[in-house]
Amino acid sequence: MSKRSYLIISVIVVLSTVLSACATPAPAGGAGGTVTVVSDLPMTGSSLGQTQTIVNAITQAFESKGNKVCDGKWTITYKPYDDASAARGAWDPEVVTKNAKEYASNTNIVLVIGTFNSGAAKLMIPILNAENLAMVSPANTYPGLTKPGKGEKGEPEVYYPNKVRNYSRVVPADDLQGAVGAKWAKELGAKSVYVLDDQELYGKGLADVFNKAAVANGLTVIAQEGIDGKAADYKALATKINDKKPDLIYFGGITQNNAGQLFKDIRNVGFKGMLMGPDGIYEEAFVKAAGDASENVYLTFGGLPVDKLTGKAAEWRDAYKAKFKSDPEVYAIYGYVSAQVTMDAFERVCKSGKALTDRAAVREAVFATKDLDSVLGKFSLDANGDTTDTTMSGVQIRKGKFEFVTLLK
Amino acid sequence: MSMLEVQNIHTYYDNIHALKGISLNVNEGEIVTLIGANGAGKSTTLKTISGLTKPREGAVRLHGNPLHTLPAHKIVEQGIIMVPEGRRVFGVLTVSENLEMGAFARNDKQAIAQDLEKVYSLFPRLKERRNQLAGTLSGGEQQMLATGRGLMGRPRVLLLDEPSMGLAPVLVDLIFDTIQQLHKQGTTILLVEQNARMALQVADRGYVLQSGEIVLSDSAENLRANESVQKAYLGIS
Amino acid sequence: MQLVRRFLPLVIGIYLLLFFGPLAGFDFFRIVGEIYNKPSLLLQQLINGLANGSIVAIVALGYTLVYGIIELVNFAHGDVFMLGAFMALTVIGATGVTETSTASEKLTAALLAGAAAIIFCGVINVIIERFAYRRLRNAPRLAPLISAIGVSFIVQNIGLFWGGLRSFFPIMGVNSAAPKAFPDLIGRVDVFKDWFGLDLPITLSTKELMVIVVAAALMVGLRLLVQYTKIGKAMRATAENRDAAKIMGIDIDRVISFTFLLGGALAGAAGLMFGLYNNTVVFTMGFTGGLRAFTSAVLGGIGNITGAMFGGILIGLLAAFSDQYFSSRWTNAWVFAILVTVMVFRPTGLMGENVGQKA
Repeated sequence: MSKRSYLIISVIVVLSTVLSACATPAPAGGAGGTVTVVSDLPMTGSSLGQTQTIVNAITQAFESKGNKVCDGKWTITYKPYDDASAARGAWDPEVVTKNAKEYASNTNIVLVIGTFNSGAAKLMIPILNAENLAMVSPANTYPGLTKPGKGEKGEPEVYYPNKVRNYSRVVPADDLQGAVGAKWAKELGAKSVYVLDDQELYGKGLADVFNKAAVANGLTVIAQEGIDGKAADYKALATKINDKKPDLIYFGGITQNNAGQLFKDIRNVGFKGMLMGPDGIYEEAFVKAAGDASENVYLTFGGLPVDKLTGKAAEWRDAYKAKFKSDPEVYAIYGYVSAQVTMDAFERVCKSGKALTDRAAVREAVFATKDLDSVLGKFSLDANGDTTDTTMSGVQIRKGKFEFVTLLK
Repeated sequence: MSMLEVQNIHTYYDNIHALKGISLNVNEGEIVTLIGANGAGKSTTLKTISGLTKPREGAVRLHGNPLHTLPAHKIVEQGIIMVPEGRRVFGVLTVSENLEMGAFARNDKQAIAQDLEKVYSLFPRLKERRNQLAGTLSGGEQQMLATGRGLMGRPRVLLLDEPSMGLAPVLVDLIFDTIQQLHKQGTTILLVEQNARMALQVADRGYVLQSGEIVLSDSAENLRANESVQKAYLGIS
Repeated sequence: MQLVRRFLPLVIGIYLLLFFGPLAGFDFFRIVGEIYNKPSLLLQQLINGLANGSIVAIVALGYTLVYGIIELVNFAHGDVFMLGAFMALTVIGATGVTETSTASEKLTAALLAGAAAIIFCGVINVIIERFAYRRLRNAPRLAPLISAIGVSFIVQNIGLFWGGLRSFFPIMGVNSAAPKAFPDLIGRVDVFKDWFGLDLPITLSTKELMVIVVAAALMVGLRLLVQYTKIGKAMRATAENRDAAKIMGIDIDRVISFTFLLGGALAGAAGLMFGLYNNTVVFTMGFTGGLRAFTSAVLGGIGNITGAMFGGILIGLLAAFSDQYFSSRWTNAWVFAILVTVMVFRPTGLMGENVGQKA
């Protein structure tokens, strides 16, 4: 290396040390300063359609307050992280763990908005739990993350080595979604169902709940099977299912696990019955991937479709459209609400006279969220960190568009 | 000027100095033999001429044109054909396909067909077995095939590496008869042999190699008469 | 004693199968019963498996050709196959042909796409060999292998980037990594019913017919090329003994380049076939598709052309059978269990390796 490059490098090193010292002044007590909030979402891969609108909405929420809280004393720096890798085209366990360790060790980070995939949450929660770092998820729906007795044995305690909860979510969990799905299937006239899942935490969890609820509702469950989300095609499986002639096929899974190909092959072998899926395939990418096979597919999800939003939510939607010149996807509003929960908690921490850099105080404040007047209406977070909001919608894809069909209870 | 000239070549296998400045020449129409003990560098000399190994120093020239700068397949196009040690016939190819490979660098279809007939008349056994996989031939048949395959390239210089190795005496005689026939037809031959007695009988001149260096060079007649050659290579004491 | 030792793994295998098989869907009597009750379903699944296996086999040929000649597992091959599918999709997008176009338009578009994919993948593969493998040919085995893995990642990322160029190629859809819909140019016409008026309990669609016929033609073509042409013979000679080939006047660099060209061209054709058959392409398909194909090549005996075809079709059939009679959750486990079993008893694969008899 030449002398000159040594010089340049040393200048950079010195400058960056000085600058980073400026950027993070050590705040004394409640005097104010800067804290970092990060979001942890898969930004590489086909989830990007969803996650980019979530990041936009979070940015929008913080910017609406000028990135300031506590009467301008504290500045919020928002930094979106990517937990996916190009190699997988979806969330990657390795990246999730690496990110989590980084959040844990960077004391300036006081809250994580994430994750998007329940499997990723499983890995991240315990790491952040040990460091008292609060999480607010805009999208995880696997029940076992928070609800005792709704997931596997030992859940959710295994995620909280510290014995104190640090993880909350602003979306209704799947024990609701799977259950209302099964009920809806019955209302649609199905007598027998075939259940498929993508063998991931989210998908299999949902499918299991759907399976149980279907039986409870008097439907015949012919079988439940898992698919390989990376297989080239599913014609053999589809041939088998078609031979059993179920009235409805339910798929618990996400678009990224080849849902498009699965639905195509099911229609390809001549299956004429109904198809249903969860919010994991409630996105534009699924319609594009499945093409004609997405037609008439029934979908369930928490909340309301973007174009059915009313009141404050509608105002938010219009502001979003004006700012980003595009439509928000379904989860974007939960991103906005996550940021609202964050800022609300920060305000209360300040009022108690503590500094925002006090992770334990922030965590406590998040769990104390009560009657927050969000764009989704008023809701609270319970002791498990779950939202009290349980609005669920049923939609159907018609001519490539998501059409609202019914509210599900 | 001699036809093939090797000037002071140094060849290495990784860090092993295999050839330490070999110089030799072969005149048109001659049979020249290299004799020496195992590991003296005889085969390496042939490999260096044919381009399979490259000399770190020195030069190989054909009619004054450098060969050592060319890749092996271009050297073949110059008419330098090697019949390698241990036959190296293509076991998964048939006998006739092997012979075809020998003529790979040529495009004169008619002449190739004529040469094929020539080889078959030279070695009728090969004709009988032409559709058999070469891997199934006996050692002697494989040597015939390797030699025939070399001839299919219409050699200007034929490099023969241990053609008699591992063969029954009858076959050794056959191979040496063939060498003499080729000699009569005007083919230039550089012959490497362990069987120094036979080699010196057919050759015009010879070189004696020892540890990568030439220690003696003379006419075949004189070499046969040389006492130290007799002792070391001809088994006469 | 010798006998006991020889068959011990077999006995242990059967034992394991009886005990753990049912957990993974292997229930002998149920399966026999199902087949007996509805044999047409088995036939239908064989058709599914044959079509799938045919595509796998064409990709497997690329692995086996390259391994046969330079003993390198070309990990990037699956990703080149993915690029072929992307190229075909791009060309079809550019022609503007869709499901509703006329038959002759569709045929023209498919042929154009095929030609483009075949040439493109062939050339890419030659370039990969030239820059990533050639200089490492005499290096320790691990070096080109690592290089191949690196190239695989690079090519995969090229696919990801390409998939994001929707402003140039609108057909690429929503976002770079999303699965892309490949226009269904063939359609599903039931050959038995609609062409021959036969009312059979099984269906053979034009799609499966296309895949099986094209794959068979490619395999026969390759077989003839390797067996009877001058370059084919030079390939076999080079595979067996590189030095001996050199002194025949064979330019082995050219022969190796040609082998990569051939493998790439097959991958390009397979890419188009995959797109037309499954109607979805995604940038990760090369990795998973490649894995199956590589497995097939090993199963058949790597380096052995017939073995690769056989292995590919066998794996396709096996996967379809497992999906029907075992459980799709366990299909991959079954496929690899069979592979392991074959490797234990025949380490060189079903048809035997074919990398010459190097001394």
